[in-house]
Parts: sequence; C-alpha cells; structure tokens
Amino acid sequence: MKSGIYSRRAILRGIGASIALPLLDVVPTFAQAPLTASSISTGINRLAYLYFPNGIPRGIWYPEETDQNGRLIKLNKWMSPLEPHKSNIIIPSNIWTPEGNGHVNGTPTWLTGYDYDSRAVNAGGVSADQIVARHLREETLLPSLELSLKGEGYFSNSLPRNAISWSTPDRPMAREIEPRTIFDRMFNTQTGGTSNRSVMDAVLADARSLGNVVSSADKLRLDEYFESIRALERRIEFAERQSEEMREDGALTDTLVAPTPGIPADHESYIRLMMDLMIMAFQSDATRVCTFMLDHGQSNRYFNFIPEVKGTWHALSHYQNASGMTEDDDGTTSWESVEQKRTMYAEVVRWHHHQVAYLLERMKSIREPNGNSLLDNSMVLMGGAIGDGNEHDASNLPTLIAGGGGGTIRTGRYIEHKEPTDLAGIHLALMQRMGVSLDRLGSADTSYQGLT
Amino acid sequence: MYLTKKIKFPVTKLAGSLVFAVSIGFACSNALAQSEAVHELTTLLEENCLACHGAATQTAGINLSALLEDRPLVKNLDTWRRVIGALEVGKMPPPEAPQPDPEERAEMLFLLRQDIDGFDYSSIDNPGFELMKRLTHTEYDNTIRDLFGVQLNVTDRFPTELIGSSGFENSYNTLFLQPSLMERYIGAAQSILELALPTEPSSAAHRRTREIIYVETPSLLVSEQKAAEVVLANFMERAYRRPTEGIEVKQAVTQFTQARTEGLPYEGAIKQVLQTVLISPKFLLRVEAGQDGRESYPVSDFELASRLSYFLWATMPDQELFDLAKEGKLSDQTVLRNQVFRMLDDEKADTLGDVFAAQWLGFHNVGTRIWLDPIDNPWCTASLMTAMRDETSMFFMSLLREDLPIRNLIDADYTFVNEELATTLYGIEGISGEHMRRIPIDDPNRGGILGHASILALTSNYTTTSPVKRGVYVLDTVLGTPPPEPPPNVGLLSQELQAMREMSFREKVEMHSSNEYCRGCHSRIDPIGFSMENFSFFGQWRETYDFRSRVDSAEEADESITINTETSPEPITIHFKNTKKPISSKGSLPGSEGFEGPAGLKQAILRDREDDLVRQVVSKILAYALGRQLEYYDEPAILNIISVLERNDYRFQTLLQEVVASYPFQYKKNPSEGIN
Repeated sequence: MKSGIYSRRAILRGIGASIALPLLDVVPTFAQAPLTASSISTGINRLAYLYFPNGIPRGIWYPEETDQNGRLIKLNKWMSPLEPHKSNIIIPSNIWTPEGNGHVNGTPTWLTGYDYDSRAVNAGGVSADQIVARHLREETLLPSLELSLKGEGYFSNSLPRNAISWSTPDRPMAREIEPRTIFDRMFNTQTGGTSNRSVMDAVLADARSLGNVVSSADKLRLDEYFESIRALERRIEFAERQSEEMREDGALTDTLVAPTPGIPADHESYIRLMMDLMIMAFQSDATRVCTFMLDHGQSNRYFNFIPEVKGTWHALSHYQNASGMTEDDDGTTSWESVEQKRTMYAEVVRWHHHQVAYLLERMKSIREPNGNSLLDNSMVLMGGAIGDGNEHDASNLPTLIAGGGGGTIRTGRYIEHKEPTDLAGIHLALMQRMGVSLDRLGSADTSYQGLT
Repeated sequence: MYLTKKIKFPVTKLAGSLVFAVSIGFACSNALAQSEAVHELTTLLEENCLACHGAATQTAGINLSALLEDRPLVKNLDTWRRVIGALEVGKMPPPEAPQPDPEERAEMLFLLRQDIDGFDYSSIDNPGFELMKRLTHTEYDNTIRDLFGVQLNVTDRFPTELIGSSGFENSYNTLFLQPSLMERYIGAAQSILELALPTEPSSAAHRRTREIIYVETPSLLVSEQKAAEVVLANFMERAYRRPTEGIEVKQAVTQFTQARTEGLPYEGAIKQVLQTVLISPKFLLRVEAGQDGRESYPVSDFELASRLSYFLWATMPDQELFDLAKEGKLSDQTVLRNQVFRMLDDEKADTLGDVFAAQWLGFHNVGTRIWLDPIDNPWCTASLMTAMRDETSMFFMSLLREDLPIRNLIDADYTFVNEELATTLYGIEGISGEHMRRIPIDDPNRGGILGHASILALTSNYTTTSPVKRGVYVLDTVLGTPPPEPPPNVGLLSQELQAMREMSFREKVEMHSSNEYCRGCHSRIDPIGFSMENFSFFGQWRETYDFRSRVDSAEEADESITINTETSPEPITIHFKNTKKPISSKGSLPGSEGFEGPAGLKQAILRDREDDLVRQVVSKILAYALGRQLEYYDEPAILNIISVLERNDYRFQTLLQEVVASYPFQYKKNPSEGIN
C-alpha cells in the first residue's frame, strides 16, 4: 500500500536557515536559502482566531497612551507583553455581541453572530471561519484547523463550551487537542488516516446505494458522510500532487520532527506548541484558516503556576466575592480582598498576552516569498464573548486584531467607538479580506470599516 | 397518576368577576372555558411579562407571545416549565420590575398548569424519529470487540465525545461525522486490521480472531474467489447488522479480485475489503430503512435487534438476536420479552451501569474531573475512585438484575465495596482484598445512591461539601424537577464579605435565604444539602465540622508538624489548633415538613416525591434507549410505562420491558419538517 507523504518542501518553503521552530526542534539544515516559491503566490492572506474565555476585569483592555489619531504609544501594564508588537495590533473599544452571551450561549456563537439554542444544538449559522474555509477548501490541504487545549475541571465535555466552529448551524467541528495528532494530520498521511484510492472508491460506490434505502430526513446524515469523504479525497489529491513534487526533490526527506504523542504537562509549553503548529500550518500552506480556543468557554483551569495567583480561572473571574465560598470557588482557595482577587484575574489575562506575544513574535520572524513576514500576511483576531467576567456582560468585549492582512489593515492603533460596535461586523471585514464577500453575518448587516 | 393528580388550586376567577371551582378534567372538556382561559392567560402574560419577554425584546431569548401562539403549549414544555418555575419562586418578574398581585400570580400559574400539566395527550400519535447517527466511541469499541473477538479500544485518541442537552453521549443531535473524525475512522480501520489480523499471527488471541474472520479457506475444493466470497459475506452481514444484498457481496468480491490482480496476497486482499467495510456508512452509522408517507411504521426485525443491543449492551446484536431477526420472530412480543431477560443476564449489559447510569447520575466524572489530591488527601487514589464508580455501577446493575423496585435506588440495605473503599471512606472493617463484593448495610444513612461516595464527591467542591450542589443534584438529577437557573450577576454578597468571615459555613450558605433575590430558589435547594452535611466531601461520615487553623506557639496548639522547605535551611515547625463545631443536619424538601439527616431525606423523598423519582428514571432510560432527548409527544409513552409500573411495584425489569415494548422504541414516523 502506497501512502503519500506530504511535501516536506512545502513546510520548508520560505523558512530561512536562521529560524528554527523552538519547541518542535526542527532544524532544516539544508535549507540554506529560501526555496523557490511555486504555489504560494504573493498576497496570500491567513486568518486565525484565538478564543479567550472568562472575560477580563473591566478596564484592563485600554492603552495607557495614544496620540490624537489613536496611534498606540504605550500599552497598559496588563497588556505590556504586547508592547514590542504594538505597531502590529489594533485595539478596538466598545465591542459587543447583541445576541448569544455568557459562557454557554456566547462561546458557540462568538463566530456566528447569532444566539444559541442548546436543545436543538444550533448556533444560528455557519461560523465565520468555516465560511472562509469552505471558500478556500480547494486551495489547501486542510480547509481549516480547529485547535483546543485539553480541558481541566468541570464542563470539559460540555458541547456549547467547547464549540466555536460550525460547518452548518447544527454541526460543530471536532477540535484537536493533541499536538502530535495535528502534526500527523498535516504531514503524515499514514497515521493521519488517508488511505489508498481503491478503498475510498469502493466505500463511495457502496455508500451511494444507501441513499435509496433511507428516509429523506436521513439523507442529511448521509450527506454529512459524503461531505467528510469528499474532504478527504481532496486531501488525498493534494497529497498526491505534493508527493510528485517531492520525488523531484529528493533532498527533502525526514527533516520534520514530530512532537511526541500526549499532552505536555507544562501549560505554557502546551499552548506554545499549539501555536507553533498553527504557524507551521500557515507557513506550509496546509491551511489558511485556524481557530484556537485558548481554553473552553468556562475554563476552571488552575493558574497557580503564575507567581502570586491562586484559584481557578472561572472563580477568579467572579472577583467581586473574595470569600472563596461561592459556588464558583473550589472551596479551599480564598482571597484577602476583592482587589487581590481582581489582580490575580488580571494576571491570568496578562499571562495569555505573553503567549500571544510569542505567537506574534514568531510570525513576525518568518519571511514569506513576497518579502513580508508571515504576520504581515495574516490576520489574528483574539477575543471572547464575555466583557467583565464578574458582570457576565457582553459589552466591552476584549478584542484585539493583529497582523497586516496582506497590507489591508492599518495597525498600531486604538480605535475608540462611541457606540457599541457589533463584533460580527469585524468578522465580516476579516472575511472580506479572505475573499469572502457577505452582506451579513448573524446580527451584523454591515462590514466594519475601521480596519484601514 | 401524573394526569390524575389534582392541582391544589381550587378557586380561580374566569371571565371577569365570576368565580368557578374548576378541576382539570372539567376545564379541558369545556371548549368555551378553554378559550376564555387562553384569553385570560394571554392578557395576564401581556400585562406582567411581555415588556421584557415579548416579540420586541426577547430577554434571555424568551418570546412569550410567539410561545403562546404555538399550541398546544406542551410543544414548548421545557420553556413553559421554566416560566412556571420562575413565577412560582418569585424570580420573575425581577424585583426591580412592577409585581403582579398575589392573586394574579396564582392565576397565571393555575392557567399555565392547566395547559401544561392538564394537557390531554391521548390525541397525540407520534413515536418520533431519530436521525441516523454514528456509533458513539464506546459503541464503536464494543462493536469492534464483538466483530473481531478482541478488545482494542482504538478510540482513545479520537476527539472527545461532547454531551448536549439529552445528557447522554448517544444522542443523535450531538453525534456528528466531521471530516477529522472520518480520518480517525480510516486510520482506525487500518490499525484494527493490523492489530487483530497481523500477517504473522503470534498469540492465542490472533488465532481466535482468525477463526472468527476466516470462516472459509481456499483449498483444492474451494476456489480462492469462493472462499473470499464466504468470508466477506459473513463479515459484512455482522458489520452491517443485517443480511447482505447480492450486489454488495458482488462488489466486495470484485474489489478483492482487483486487489489480487494488483499483486496483494490472498489475506492482504481480504483485509483491504474489510477495511472498506469498516469505513462504510453502513457500519459507522446506525442505518434504518425509511418509508414514505405520513403514517408511523414499525422498524424491521433487524433494526429492532440493533435498537435492543445498543440499548442494553452498547454493542452490536449477537448471533441469537440475528437468528431471531432472520426468522422474523424478534418482533413477537413474547420472544422480545425473553430476549430482554436473557440480555440482562449477559455481562455485556453492565453498560447500563457503566454508561447509562454513569452518564445520568454523573459518576463517570469521578476520576477524570474529581481530582487526585496527593498532598492534602493522599488516601484519594485512582484505585479508590475506580472503586467508587464501580460501587454505584454495580449497585445499579443489581437493582436491574434482581428486579428491585425503583425506590431502592434511594434506599437499600446493601452496597458494593472493596477493602480500600470500605476502610478509607465508610469506616467498615473486615473487608479485605481489591475485588468489589456485596455487603449488607444496617446504617439507615448509607444505603442508596445518596450515601454513595461517588455521588457525594461529585456534588462537592474540591475539598469541601456544597449543600447547594447537593440540593440541586437531588432536585434536578434525581427528581427531574430542576430549580430555575441562577440569575446572571450572582455575586451580590461582596459588601457582606467581612461579616461572612465570622460566620459558620451553614450561616454563610443561609445568607442565600436572607437575600430576597436568592431566597425563592435557595430556600428549596439549600435545606436538602444541609441534611446531607454529615457526609464529607468524599462521603465519609462526620459528626462535627473540623477546622484547623495556624497558631503561633506550641502552647496554643493541638498539633504541630515539622517540615523541610526549599526556602529555609532549617526544618520549620507549624502549629495548628483544631476546633470542632457540631453539624446540624436538619433539612426539608420544598413544600413538605422537615426531617433530620440523610436517613430523613431518603424517607421524605420516598414519602413525598416518589412520583417524581419514578418519572425521572423512566424519562432518563427512555431517552437513552431512543438516543435522543424526549419531546412532548413522548408523554403518552411515559405515562403508559408509569401506569404499568404502578401495577408491578415499580420494579426495574418491568421498566426495561416496558421501554422496549414502548411505541417510540418500536416505531418511527417521518418528521413533518426537516430535523433541526
């Protein structure tokens, strides 16, 4: 049985010799010069979403200083990890979602712009990332990549808290939590699962006959099956094309080191490894759309590894009660004051900014064939569906946009909005930059105009 | 019994100032009164609720004007129950809004209950429809086990199964077939064949699997093609859980021949076809043939065999079920009854404890989400948590296998323990060894699930008990009568923070009840949890709360420990003072008199709430059996099962038999509109 191996060439394309992938330990020693670009043309744009749960303490998502045009001069101390990247980001104020709020309804609708119906398992519409993925699916190995971190504590298998990407209004995308699996899906067809042609052809022929047997409602489910198979077929074709390329380029073999199976114990290593994989996916053009949930929508993870922080994230978010005795608390952790608890909550936010800074730094350091950095050719939207964690409201949502979008975004700015501004409008604006022109998404019927 | 229950609300006003005494039956049979009632209800809701919950604003997603149009109101049973709940406890209208006077509130409740609880379900004929769904990961692993005769558990690295509002993994509306999962199936098919049928068999298990798969071998008398045909047809029939069609076998043999032509050895070519079968939707999905039309129709005997085996065993049917289906006998209700008895005896039925009961009662979370705590509670080991899960699972299975009444779920004079569980948590001596065994229990507090360590731990915080969680658990999970959701913005107690420092734990939780906004619900929730306070966060019995606080000197201390730390070169001695406070375990159930301790709680549940308990058990097991959340049109089936149970002392085997015999289990009806 022959199995296609994805082109190592693609992954190495454009990686300069000086850049190693720190956590993956990939040292492409022979790739001394940037490889000639073939399929990657200039002007390719990527879209990444970083879902950030549990909100923020109100008032830590503003810059400390801007000029009169809103140009970022100095970030506040809680956003300080992003200081080196302030010219690459936009901080919009007063963002909200009119529908679908909170941990349960806000998470699944962050990218759909509608409200969530938990009984029907329905997020109202297809999510922005999946609309773009569908548009681009012929172009890349994987239409999109859905990443999450392994949950800790309660709600780790609650559907609404773990679903932000919807391929149809009632079908969430499965999310990957294990670095090795993600790597294999991109670069190793053998364990990644595609199989040889004759098996696939036989399955399809056989499956079609089912359509005559089942009721019309059930045909929907069968369509789902065919759709999955078609997605795999596209992958196989893509892989075959690439292995052709590979045969012509015998030097490029086995330079990628796969991450070890399992989940890294250290949370920072885990999150950064996932970010590395996301970068790798963009770099190799394995996909151009990626969502990464920095935790599930009501994360109860302990951040005690941050000095001076104790208690679970969700408990910290309800900072107004420091007794340690509410139902959100773990029963052992208590705080000396509301102020202390709020500070710890803010520390967790800052810790995440450190990780985002890592991502941006890496993306900046990668040169693409058109001479720009990967970050210049990408758009990263970081944010969540809860404003102030204690208030549980959907106003002043923490939202941050990074990356140049292939020269379509003017970064380095704080954009103040007098009126509440619908997040779904920003989704529309980013989708446009991926080549998808839509008039509306969920509650928004106009695309946000402030990015240029 | 559910329908005939009289609502204790004899007097109401209808049509202006006239006063009628109304019973439910009367109101339903009187069309005039009913339309008046509809009008009255609409008017009252318009006055009191629609400003926030009307078409324009739809706060919390609730649009009562649309819901009022959607008749019968039971179509939106869950939402109306929430409305009733919120009105009942005074959560709605919220305190800052204008309040209806008490008569108006009572009137709204009466009219709503009349439409909801008093609805005449006999007019409804709909067994429902479950969209074709894939196997759950558990079902997939078990089915592979039965197909190949070896346990492989290849789904370990599949994406986690997520649970939606049915509460069970097997619900059709959460079993998606995403491309990334499809990749796993394809990879898994390959691994399964490599692991179960290696080119060079090297173990007894390999040889057993070969016997199951290679039911024919090419020889002088049997051509390769003929042998392949027999092998493949046999496998496909089992994998698809129904007889094969001629064309399917023909295609399979063609694929085999093609693979041979391409140079694969005989077994390699067979395995390629088996791999195809394992990623066919006929294997991965629970396929049921459809029929056209608007009438309900029975599922076929083979489909019934699968419904039965995935319900009772979480796996494919065995040979006996296949044979009965083939002979067309399985739909004979006597044959079916005997099969249920037979299947319950089989150890494969343990999935009713390990999967159904675990997901309903939540104890599948013990061990994955109740954490090891090696520092403060080193006794809390992985093996202890396994024993905790096994206790409840085995207890549940004993109720089924011994055909005990449903009430024994709450109160029983036995349980299952091993040495570790008995000594660590229950203070029971004289048990030795790791294996779980049945023991009698004479402590009136301990027997039944509310005295199980698994349930007590999962309704606790990480290291302390939570009367609120336990109260909600009893009302929601056990009795199926959840209190309304807490309002957003619950942390209202901050200003009282300092005062709380001085309070006992009970006093702190009781603050819920002193706060007007919280009282409505918490006066119902908290007293249940308080009655269980003698059970610690892991279910150990305790008479007092033990507090340990740091003190400065050895003189004040009851206990001193010396430890080495990284920060200090010298060992450090820490002094503790232990104080004890007695536990008060008085409690009450909503609307009934008080009681004392867990034993009192159990008696109160069985005295005052057995109807709710029965209804909850019936609903949960029916939802699991059907693989979907229940809808209003399932009510006749529920009522029917309950009435048969009533005549049979509420025994568990009657329950299983009646679920299997029920209309929705054996029939289906095409949905009028698209599903979701």
